[in-house]
Amino acid sequence: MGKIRNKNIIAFALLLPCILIIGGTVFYPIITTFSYSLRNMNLTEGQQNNFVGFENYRKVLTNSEFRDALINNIAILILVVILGLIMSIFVGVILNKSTKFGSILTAIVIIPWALPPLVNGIMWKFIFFPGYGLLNNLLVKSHLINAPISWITSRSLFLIVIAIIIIWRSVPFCAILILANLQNIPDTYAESFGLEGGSKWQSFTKITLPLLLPSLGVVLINLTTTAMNVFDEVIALSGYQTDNATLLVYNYSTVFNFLDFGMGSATSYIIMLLSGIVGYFYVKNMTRDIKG
Amino acid sequence: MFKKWIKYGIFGLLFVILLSGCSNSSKNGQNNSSKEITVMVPDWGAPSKSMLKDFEKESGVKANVQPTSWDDIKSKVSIASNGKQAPADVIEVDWSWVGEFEKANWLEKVDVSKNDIKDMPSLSTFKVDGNYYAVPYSNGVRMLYANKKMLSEAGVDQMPSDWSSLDKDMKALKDKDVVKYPLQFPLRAEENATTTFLTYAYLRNGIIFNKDNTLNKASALDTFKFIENGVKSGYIDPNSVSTDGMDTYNGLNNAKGAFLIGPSSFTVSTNNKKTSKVVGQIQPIKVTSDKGASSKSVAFTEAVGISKFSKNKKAAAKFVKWYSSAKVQKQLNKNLNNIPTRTSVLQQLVDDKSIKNGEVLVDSNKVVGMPFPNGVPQNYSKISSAIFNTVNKVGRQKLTAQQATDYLAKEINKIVKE
Repeated sequence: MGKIRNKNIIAFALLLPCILIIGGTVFYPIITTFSYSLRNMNLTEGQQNNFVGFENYRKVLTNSEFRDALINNIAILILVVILGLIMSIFVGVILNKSTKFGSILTAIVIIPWALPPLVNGIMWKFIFFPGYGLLNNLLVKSHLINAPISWITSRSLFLIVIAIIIIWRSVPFCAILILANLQNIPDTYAESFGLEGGSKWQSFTKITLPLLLPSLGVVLINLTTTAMNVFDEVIALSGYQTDNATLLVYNYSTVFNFLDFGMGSATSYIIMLLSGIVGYFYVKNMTRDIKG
Repeated sequence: MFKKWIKYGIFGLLFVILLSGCSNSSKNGQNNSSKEITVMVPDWGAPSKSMLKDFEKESGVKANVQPTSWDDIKSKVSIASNGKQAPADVIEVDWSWVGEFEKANWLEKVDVSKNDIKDMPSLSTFKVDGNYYAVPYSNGVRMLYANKKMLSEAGVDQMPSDWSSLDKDMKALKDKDVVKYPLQFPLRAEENATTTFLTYAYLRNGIIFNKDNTLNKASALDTFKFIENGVKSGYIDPNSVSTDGMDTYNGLNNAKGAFLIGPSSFTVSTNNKKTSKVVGQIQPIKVTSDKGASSKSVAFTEAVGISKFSKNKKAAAKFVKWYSSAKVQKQLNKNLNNIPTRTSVLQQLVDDKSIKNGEVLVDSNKVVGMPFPNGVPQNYSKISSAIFNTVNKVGRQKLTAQQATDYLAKEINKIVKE
């Protein structure tokens, strides 16, 4: 009995530093942010730091710029999740097939993931620059278009451009996850299925894909969080243009440009709740598949 | 028993290490000694080590300069000040932040002499309710720059004397195909589009905001019409809606445009072989109004102020005084090409040919006016965001000049009422 108690004390003591660090750096800011979100906390109105309940949430949700940012984020999210998932599986399968240059290709593929988001944004800005950007130059020189396309000035085109950049940045990591999963699936499964008369496509959809489900869940979460957190690329490409803003750009402007910590904290909570809802469904489905 | 004590000893050590991170002694890197201060300015304003040694000899105060990216300074100041901590004893105060910082009570008043007020007209930007909250060190007077060589190629012999002659010159440059887009005008949704809009509106009409801080619609309409016409006539590059504002300005140095109404730093950078392809070709002109040269000029300057939460306010005040002195402004010009805010120093630099074609700069500096009738407003950031987004929409031809004016007037009135 005494030994068990001693073990518990040691376990608790070992966990305590971690609990303190996580408590101080994660839970304390979460609670503080919530308390900010219930106050009229515009720093330039220092005297009016009063409790306003859920007024900030109402203001954010009825703000047309917030709604624009939300729509932009949802559009980016849909594009990134669908195209990113397909691309990740495709690249993962290709890397799994390649034997001679497998390791070199894997090293090359990982480069975009290793680049900082701002560098990505600046690089893609040169590619999609209206007028004399790289892509326009290529398209004009190859006579596919007559006049340069204004990629960034149209909202819908801009969202597609941002989605492409996010996919380019996220797919390497996701593909490596899928590759690791693929390499753990014994070849004998597909071989046996082939002997039974199944086609390669059937083997992929009926054997490989179901076995990939655990890593696909992680891939989906990664793609979703990356699409929700898009910030640097938007700033690099279009600055603080309100009709192109995403939720994080809107939030950054509210907090650090307008110094409205109350509204900014409410926006943070709304973003956290939206991400939490999406995350909850992913995790729920993942655990269901694992249990099943 | 011995093992047990070793275990407890290790845990104890872990706690001490963990708690030492929460120590108060090294807060913000400040030294408790009043003889040592921290200074947060952008790299373009950071004094050299030898200058700081001179300051230490003169004042007995050691200044630790933290060169910080301009974009990061506002958020660093906001976060630290909100927690009642000094981000640094002496902090950068951009002209656009002074209204917000003063209202939030983050700035200490600074003492300025009558001579300082006379010698630095842009000090008026940092005056709130009769008190000064920062002293400008980097000049931001706006002037018109014209490329003489391009104008000559277009058959224009005289520099533009008013807005209509500027318009004719742009047409001539376009007709003769000397340059594709004659006027460099930032249209991207960022601060440079706002300051450019404010400059044009103020210089063309002498007013932007009414006495009650609402938008002067006539002035705004006139300026939006100028932008609309500029884009439609091909005087302004429509791709500027996506180009970084500074890159648009630098189009003058890269021979992409013949005209720019931009910051005073271009008097130096256009004549620097490292930064300019048009050395010797650029003529600064005092910005014109419909009645000839404008009687007023406008400046968007950088300044230094003292954090309200500084524990070394006296030492910080000594630094601000030293940093804005004529001697240091001259040294900063020599070391960093920084354009002084003191008219007397500008005159000296022009006289000894350190600044070429600087007569216009001296004249413009003498007549710096304040575009905000009641000082820079506390909600300037929101006003700026509304302006640059509207300018951007006119640039993208999503709004006509009239629609833009109505929209902006509504937005600004809403912000003012908040």
